Amino acid sequence: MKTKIIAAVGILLILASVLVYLEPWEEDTNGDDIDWQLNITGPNGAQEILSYDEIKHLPAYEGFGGYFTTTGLIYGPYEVKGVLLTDLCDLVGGVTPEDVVFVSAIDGYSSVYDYDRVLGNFDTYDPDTMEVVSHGESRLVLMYEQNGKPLSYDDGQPLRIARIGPDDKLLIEGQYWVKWVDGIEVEKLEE
Amino acid sequence: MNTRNRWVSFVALAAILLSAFSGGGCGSSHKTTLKVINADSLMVPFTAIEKAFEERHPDVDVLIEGHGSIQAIRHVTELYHEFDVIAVADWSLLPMMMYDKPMPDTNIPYADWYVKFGTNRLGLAYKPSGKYADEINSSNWYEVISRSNVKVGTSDPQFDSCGYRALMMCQLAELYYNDDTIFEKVMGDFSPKVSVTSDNGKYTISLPATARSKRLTVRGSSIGLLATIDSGDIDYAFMYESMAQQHGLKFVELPPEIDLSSPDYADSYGKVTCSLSFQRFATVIPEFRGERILYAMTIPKNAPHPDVAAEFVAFVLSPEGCEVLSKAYQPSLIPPIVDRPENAPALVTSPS
Repeated sequence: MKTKIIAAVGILLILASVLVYLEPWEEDTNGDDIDWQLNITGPNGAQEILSYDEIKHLPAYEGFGGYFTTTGLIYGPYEVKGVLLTDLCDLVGGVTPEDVVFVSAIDGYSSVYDYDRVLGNFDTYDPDTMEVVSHGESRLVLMYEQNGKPLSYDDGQPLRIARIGPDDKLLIEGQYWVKWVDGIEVEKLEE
Repeated sequence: MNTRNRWVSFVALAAILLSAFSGGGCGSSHKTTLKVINADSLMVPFTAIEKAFEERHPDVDVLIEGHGSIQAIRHVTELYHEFDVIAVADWSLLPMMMYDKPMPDTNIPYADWYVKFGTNRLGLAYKPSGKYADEINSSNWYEVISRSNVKVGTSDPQFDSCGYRALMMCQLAELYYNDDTIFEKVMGDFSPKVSVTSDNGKYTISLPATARSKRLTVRGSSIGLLATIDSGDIDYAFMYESMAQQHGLKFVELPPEIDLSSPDYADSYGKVTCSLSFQRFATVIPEFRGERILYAMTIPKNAPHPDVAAEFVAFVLSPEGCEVLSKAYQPSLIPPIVDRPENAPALVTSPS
């Protein structure tokens, strides 16, 4: 009986190791087959529609960033790769200090960024103390890779807004990290 | 290895594991997982409720998850996540977002009843070391926090009910103290400007989409403000009393005529409306009328464990649950008020 138990435990350990190696719960995708359209509209009505693949072929910007939720849960910092929001706005006439940028998602959520935030200037928090600290270079990107992989559904697949810095690991408030982005609209700032 | 092959391997291994254990006498205890999604400001009291409920129901594992109230409901009605109980900081959101919203492929709404169970009041949280902490009171608060060397924080009206309620409170303060400079002094430096228009004794506060303040420290939630008070970067923050007490802060209690806590001043509160020009959620018109702060709960129609959920809600409403909430500084509404009681579980309408 004792031998049987030891054998069963041994088999169990081997199987667990195999499972960890196989990772059957991980989606096996490199993002190439993602069917997605991003609609970008300029302040004068210019419009551009980009596929996921076309976005990945735009100049990439990489850095680190993370966020925290309204209950204080911290996500990241992640290694992020994406396209600068300013580059995307440039496709439809650019963005100026007199504009705001609306970002919308397929689930009906949207967020708005004034010019300062489009450039990446947010209050940034130290993940250890959660106090506001100053930051160096900081940019807002439309991310398509997180830690070297395409985004998972829960992380906003396939496109998500992120504030990143080239070498810092600071956090911002999570509501600005919009998931499942399918629209960007540049509008004149209301008086 | 592609996904299909991985899953084939996974299924094969799972089958081996199952056969290895079947009949082997390896019994396992099965717990029901009850998923509760609640307003951020309920995290502390609901953590206490979770513990107390699990002690009485060892076969149930309660999982609580906090969000802004609108987002909590959206998780069920728009992101299609299944939860057993929803609890929010603004009762009016439940009928607005759930009564008329049918579940996919049905004509059945996500909810057809709710119960108001908790109250709160709005005021100013501070540390004893904050500037003029020994001076501030319910009569001079607006004068103290208007001083140029005093730093004040509020949560963002675009994201947090506490934020737009703080705007409402400052407008109500003008009426109560008969001083029409209060709103401008306390909230007046947003850019683009926050405007207040009046019509026949009704006041509408209009908040532009990207309003930012130079003087006020604005955070997305009260959690963000807590760290800022703690570090001394701000002296005072508009906050719910429960949050202030839960985090060991002092609290300036304001008159009930303006703190949105009292049923006696419902008409007065209703004079003020806050209108946000930016519609963050496609399904929520961002116009909020001044009302008494009342928390509410419901059980979504697609809750995986409706019977256990009813027991949980009944426990929150019970004298025992109220005591647990009270110890976590969350005041209960006694008696609770059930909307459309004919649709609610008997345990909720007639607790034993």
